[in-house]
Amino acid sequence: MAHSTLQKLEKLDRRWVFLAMALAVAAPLFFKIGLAPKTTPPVKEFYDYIEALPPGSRVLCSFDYDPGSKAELDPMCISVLEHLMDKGHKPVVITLWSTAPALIERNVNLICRDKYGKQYGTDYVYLGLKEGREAVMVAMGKSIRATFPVDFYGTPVEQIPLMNGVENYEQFQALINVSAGYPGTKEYVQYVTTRFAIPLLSGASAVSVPEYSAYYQSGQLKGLLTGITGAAEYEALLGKPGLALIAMDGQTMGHFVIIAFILFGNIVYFFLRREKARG
Amino acid sequence: MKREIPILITLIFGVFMIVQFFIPHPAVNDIANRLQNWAIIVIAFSYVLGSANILRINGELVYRRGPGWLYKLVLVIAFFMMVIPGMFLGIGEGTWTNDRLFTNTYIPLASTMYASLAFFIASAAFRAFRVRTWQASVLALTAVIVMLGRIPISHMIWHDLPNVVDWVMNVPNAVAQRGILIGAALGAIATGLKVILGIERSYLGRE
Amino acid sequence: MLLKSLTLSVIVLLESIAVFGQTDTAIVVLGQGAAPTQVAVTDAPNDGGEALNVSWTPTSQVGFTILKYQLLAAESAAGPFQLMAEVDSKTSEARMSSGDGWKVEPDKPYFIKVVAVDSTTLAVPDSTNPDSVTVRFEKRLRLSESAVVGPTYPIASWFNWNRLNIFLMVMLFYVLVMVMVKRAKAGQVLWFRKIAGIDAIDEAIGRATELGKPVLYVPGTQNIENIQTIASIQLLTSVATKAATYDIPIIVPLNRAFMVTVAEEAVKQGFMNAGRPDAYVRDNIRYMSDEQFAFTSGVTGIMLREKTAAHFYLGAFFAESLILSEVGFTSGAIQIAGTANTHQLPFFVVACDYTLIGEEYFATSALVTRDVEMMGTLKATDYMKAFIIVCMLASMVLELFGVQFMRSWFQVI
Repeated sequence: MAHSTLQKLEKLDRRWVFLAMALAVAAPLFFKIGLAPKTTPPVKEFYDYIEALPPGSRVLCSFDYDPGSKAELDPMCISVLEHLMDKGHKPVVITLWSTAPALIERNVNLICRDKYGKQYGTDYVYLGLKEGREAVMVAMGKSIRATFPVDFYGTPVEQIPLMNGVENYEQFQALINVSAGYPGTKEYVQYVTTRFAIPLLSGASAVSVPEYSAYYQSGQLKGLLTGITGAAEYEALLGKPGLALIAMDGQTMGHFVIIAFILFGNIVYFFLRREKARG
Repeated sequence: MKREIPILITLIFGVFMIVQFFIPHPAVNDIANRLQNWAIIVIAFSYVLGSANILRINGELVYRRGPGWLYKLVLVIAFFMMVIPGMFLGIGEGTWTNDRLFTNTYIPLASTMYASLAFFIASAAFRAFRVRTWQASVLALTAVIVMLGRIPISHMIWHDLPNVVDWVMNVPNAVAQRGILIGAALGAIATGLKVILGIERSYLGRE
Repeated sequence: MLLKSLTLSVIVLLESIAVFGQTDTAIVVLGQGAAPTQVAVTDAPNDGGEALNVSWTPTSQVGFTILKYQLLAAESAAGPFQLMAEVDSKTSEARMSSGDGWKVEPDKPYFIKVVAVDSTTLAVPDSTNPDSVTVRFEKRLRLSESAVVGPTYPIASWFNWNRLNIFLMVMLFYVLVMVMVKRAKAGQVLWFRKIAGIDAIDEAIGRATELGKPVLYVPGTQNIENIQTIASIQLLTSVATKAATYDIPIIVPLNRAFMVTVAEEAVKQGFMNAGRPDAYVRDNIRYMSDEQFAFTSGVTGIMLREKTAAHFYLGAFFAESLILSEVGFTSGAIQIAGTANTHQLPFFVVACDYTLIGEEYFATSALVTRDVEMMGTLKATDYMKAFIIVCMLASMVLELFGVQFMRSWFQVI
């Protein structure tokens, strides 16, 4: 191959890479493959932990992500709520991300109210947003009522039956955090699980998981869902195929495209080096 | 005095917040809770400050027809379009703000930006994973193994591939992560201590 | 006839017992056989007087299958008793704290009793046929109460002994900082390894000077209370000083409103250090948006429109890191990144010319300014790290011999 062609290929215009990636992730929209991932231990432990909670357990759910990470974390949030509803648990939902409230409200209503027909205030409650990041996490350890005096709709927590007797983390059987970054799982480990006795389960964007896996190994996280793959595994365990399982086809194709480009880049690099060695 | 008083305040509150971590007595704990509530209020107030800042900077540029003033005008209009209906029509499900502005405008825009990461990752991988040295070869090989192992058909490629990926993530990756994490945490503690002791003062501005 | 009357009286008696023990939802009967014994109530240590520890001995009598235990508390021995906690049948101890309309407070008297809940089978009249004396058997819950124990007073502790390990580590670190700062001030030369990224700062500003293009400095996407942001502000002053020395503009896009004043002051200080306060341009300190991707698109816009030649990404970054650094790469700028967010390091490493990893990033501000107090603190960090490594190695060796002292000592509660 001509040296100039190889050089061109080595510095391939990145728009070709973009085009290949776009085609790869879009193709499964038209040709469904239906791939389902194998369950990994962190996901199984997440699932088993919720299964093992006594029915009617009060669970604090902190869904901390924004519209940007909606595609990756919404399926996780929905599956968690479905699992809690299936087992008759009672989620108390909060968010610490300022752009999340409307997003989370939709999921809570979609699952708890519309799909399962549960009673707001008795079976589930949505407290909405509290700005203040780590300070809010620590403040909830002292008094959740003082931190969230009203719910998302402005109802005082004293008037919400599910909040009767809730003082702090001690009245919850588990804390589930779906996290896209800061504040999220890392801060809950650092500021909550090390101070207050509440088991933490986490579902996080895939990029954060290499960091959080250290917390999972040390037992500070009782279960860990990794991005869209973790959500798909969880959906498969629940037997409720959703958006995450659909996304698996696109993700698989995307991975193949990246691998193909890595191989292509190296083949070109190899020939170019050989050409250079020949002089 | 302009610097001494803030440093003194930082020292008193910083030391107090460290000490309260070890003292569970209500006499100390109640004050700590009060301080934390102050922090929550101050952080929440940053949104007011942010809004004022947006209007001040962009409004000024629009007023004096500065560079890119048209874009700034769009920004100011968009700001009021989001704030005014939100304040008067509410932000709950079914409201105009929620359905039209948040769901149909903001979510697609933010999702697009996030999705563009996939394209950037692909182009960065194409450029970076060249086997120029043996270390780069290990890096490229590991990347390929992890990517293959993370897809649903990984066990069809090789039945032990998911286990290999688990090992890569749980042993070499976790070890390196922990090493960096411990170092970074110590650095963060040291910086925190420097702030509390007044060694680090750059955040207070000019001398 | 006698048999019929006798059967009826037994049924009435059983009914009355059942009604007596009735609760809101489940019909229960009272018993004594399964009552827990040796109930002990103590103050829960190391807390603010907010909890009591309760332990008991389950019944030794045979024939009872305990379903669960209920813990009831009252402020006087006469009651009224309130349900405080429920634990499973395998447990023989529990912690009682505030909740369900009841608050455990320090120095208040509390009377406690433990109730064992098991099930029993009762004969009840078959209500479907009122003329008949037939009975059917129903399962009912049976409550067996222990004796009331108390009063017990929760005590507020002045020190949480569970956190002694952290306290000692904090004190050790503090002492190390003090000693090393003193040594540095006394003129002792402290050795540090060379960090390539630090030399690269000069190189990057040099490149921007050659091209006559501005420097872009992004101090992360977090607020001033974030330690990484504080470290970044120190570096911002140094970078601004160098930029002012070479008379090139420095643009600082910001993600948080509080950061505007801080960044303005830091850059002004830098320009003053370089003796060029007149060259400071306030419009170059730009608050973009709190929203992550609005900020990101704003910054990439600056890169492409204003053709910035040297990019510094120093601070706490998240998903925006790859977008910023990739756009920066394609624009041809020299890029230096530094963060303690380990999950973003791979992206910076592939797209930037130099990356300060984890603690290197924190060390940079001390090494750039050569401030003796900061250098002393940095050295103390090194010693502390060495101490942790020694502890980890010692723990490994001890674990090999089955001694778990170190592991349990480092456990955080």
